[in-house]
Amino acid sequence: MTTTAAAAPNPLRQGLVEDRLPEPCTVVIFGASGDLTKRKLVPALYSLAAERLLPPSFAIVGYARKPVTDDAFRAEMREWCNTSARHRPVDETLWNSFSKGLYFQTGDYEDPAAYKALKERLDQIDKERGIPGNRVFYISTPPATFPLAVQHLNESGLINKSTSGPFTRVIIEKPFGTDLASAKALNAHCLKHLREDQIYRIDHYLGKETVQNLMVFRFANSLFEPLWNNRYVEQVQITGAEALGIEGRGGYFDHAGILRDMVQNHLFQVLSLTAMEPPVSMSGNDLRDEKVKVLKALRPIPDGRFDEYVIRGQYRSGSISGRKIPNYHEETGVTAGSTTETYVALKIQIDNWRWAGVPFYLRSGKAMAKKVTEVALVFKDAPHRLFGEKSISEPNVLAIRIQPDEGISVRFGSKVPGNTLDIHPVNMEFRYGTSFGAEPPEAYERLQLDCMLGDQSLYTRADEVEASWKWISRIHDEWRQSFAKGIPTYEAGTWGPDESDALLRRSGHTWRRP
Amino acid sequence: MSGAGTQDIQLAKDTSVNIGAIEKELAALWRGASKDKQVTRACSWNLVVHCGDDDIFDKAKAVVDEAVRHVPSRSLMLKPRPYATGKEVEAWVSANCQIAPGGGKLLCTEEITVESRGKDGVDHLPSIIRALQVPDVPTALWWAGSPPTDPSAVRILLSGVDRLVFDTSMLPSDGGLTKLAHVGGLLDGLVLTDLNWLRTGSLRSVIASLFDPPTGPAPLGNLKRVRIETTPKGIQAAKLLVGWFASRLAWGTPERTEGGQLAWRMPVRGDGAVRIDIETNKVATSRDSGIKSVSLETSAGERFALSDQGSSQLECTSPGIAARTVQAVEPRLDQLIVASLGSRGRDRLYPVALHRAVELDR
Repeated sequence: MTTTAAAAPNPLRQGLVEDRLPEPCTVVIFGASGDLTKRKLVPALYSLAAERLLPPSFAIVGYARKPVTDDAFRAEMREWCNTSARHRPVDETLWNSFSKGLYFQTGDYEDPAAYKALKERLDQIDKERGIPGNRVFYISTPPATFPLAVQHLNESGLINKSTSGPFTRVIIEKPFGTDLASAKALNAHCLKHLREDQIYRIDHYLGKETVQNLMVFRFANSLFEPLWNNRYVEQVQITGAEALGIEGRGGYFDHAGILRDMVQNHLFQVLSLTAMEPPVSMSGNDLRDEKVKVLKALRPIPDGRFDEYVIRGQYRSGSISGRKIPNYHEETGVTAGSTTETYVALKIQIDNWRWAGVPFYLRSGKAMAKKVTEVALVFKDAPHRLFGEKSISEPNVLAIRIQPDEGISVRFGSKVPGNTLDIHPVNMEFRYGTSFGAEPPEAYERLQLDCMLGDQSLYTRADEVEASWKWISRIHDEWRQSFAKGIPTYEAGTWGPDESDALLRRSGHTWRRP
Repeated sequence: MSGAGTQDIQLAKDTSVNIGAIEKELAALWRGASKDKQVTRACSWNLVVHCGDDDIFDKAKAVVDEAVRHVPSRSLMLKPRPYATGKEVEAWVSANCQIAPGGGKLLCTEEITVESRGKDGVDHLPSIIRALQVPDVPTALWWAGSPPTDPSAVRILLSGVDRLVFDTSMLPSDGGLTKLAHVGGLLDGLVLTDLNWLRTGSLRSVIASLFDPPTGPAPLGNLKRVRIETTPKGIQAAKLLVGWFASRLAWGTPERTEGGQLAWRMPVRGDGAVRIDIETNKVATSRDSGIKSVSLETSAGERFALSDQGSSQLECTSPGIAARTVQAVEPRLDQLIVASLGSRGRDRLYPVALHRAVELDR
């Protein structure tokens, strides 16, 4: 249980197995008529209620421009919980109790009077439900409204910047900036209105069970960490592949590109957790200190040699699982002649003691052969080939599957049964589903709960965001300058352009087939 | 079957096997099953279930079949029948499968039933348990039905057991907790998991929430009376609740206030005392724990209370805050078994609360 700084601890709360129960609070969702609210945020909160992880006094207030009544909001959210919550269909009794705490407030993001009305409504809900003014504001609106929303929240008295009294926390959805300059500006703006420990920059990848298990796997077992370095690891491959095109998101995606949409945030988080040193503790700052060190150790790409380290591509028409995918240029919202990348592959060197000389290959793409996110550590060959030609031709691989089918597999060589000494690679697998027989919680469940509890470990810190943008923005600068070069294409439903294979071939490596 | 998009498949149902060949029979079962399907044997616990009679066995089996979907386990159903005659030991194996979350593979768990007859047959059980434990996964012994109060009956089965699971709601109201506490002390490091304690987890959480901000914990230092209304079935749960209060709020040793009544006086810091009443007269509730209401009164006249409103709802009242209804579900038995095998089953508050609750038996 977290308590506000000045409050005495509640002795009955301490030690409860359910002690990860937040204090009574209200979650206010900005952008409540959007897809994220319906598909993820409210269903995740309902699942938390089903697991008894929400405080008895709790409320959700949806905030958006659209005029909607409380009852209509409740009815709509019930439908979405029925189809999207992990605990579905909804339980009648639980829903009756949960939905009593669901409200909707119509208002503009630009209008100060609307924030005043929101404050009055929240004060009234606090009184009705016995909530002591603790609030989480989840800003899930278009990025352009983030600064204004934060400013108005503060100016209308909705933010308690003091470390005592009721808590105010603000969750800001990605993208947090579009380059280093805009990320710095947004950080500075937020810090004018909030303390850093009130800002929760969300990257939903960090809420995924397997991403968290990366830390458990590395630091709770003595078996793997001794091998986790340049003495044994030949290369690391991180893949974040989507089996869909941009599916109507052309307006957004054509401005962003896959490097901003996936790599700067999600894949760099996975990279940091894979490469970091053991943190002193699992507290928010200790963990994030180690992640930042990794980002600071990324070797800058030498000027004029970007082609040796970065490959981009754009999908052309093709087919994925029997479904035709149009050429990227034919997608709705894409500018004619766009050179926006739908695929990117990077070769990254980490200049520190542990990883010197080990390339980290990252790739991410739309319209790829299948949807998969994984980290694979490819190990060096055994120092001596005792079995001569029959030695393993495939290297040992430790693969951590983040989605789908979350789990971990180890590939090693085994003797083929028989009277000869043939060796064949085999896989030893751990799958969440089969070992625990349960579906892991949704990322948004864990992340919203952590925010209510005041735990920032799985949220991104300002310096972390800026360190990743610092590395990534140089690539965007280079692409802007080399606009005339054009962009390689790849057939939808494949693993990317040929140039991407060549990137690894130069070091004697090949991409894994995930 | 409860999960969306899953289905049940029974690979083998209660196949009678030779006791010494159980592992071999199971291996053959898996080899056969893997010929036409991708089958994964899953096991994160050895769950040994002691079933004192056939009625308990039937109920426990249904609970285990449901629970192992969520905590894949090798279940070993024991039917000790010391007064029965016939073959000393008989065993059956079965396997229950479901489509694994995410689809594709069949996720299967094994269930072995062992019936032992006569004293000699019962004496075989400890070695059978040892032989059938899957290595490198923990073992829980669920004593289905009334918890063990005879140390000699349970001691022989505890070797290699990490967690002893029982339900104190089935104990006799007078002296039951004391006897159980003796059993719990038989093995160093043995974790005691009381389903009755787990059942009241949501209730404790709601009680604790009455003293979260804005109220805060100050009134807890000023309590003069605690009243718990319960059905007779809920007396042990009520005592454990008092044990929890006593341990968290550092109350002194209880003294009975009136002979024959469930009323005590417990010293508090300074020279005061808090009066405890467990009332069972004409109490009815739909809650499995039997607890209908809890109220805490302070010397300043404040009253903090919660009471059963049916449908897993509790009405909470606190000074200065409008009465509100909150959800406080008591899990079903299969859900309690699942919880008992997770982190909730290793509750560090429980041994202390039990120790303090035992004082109420004196």
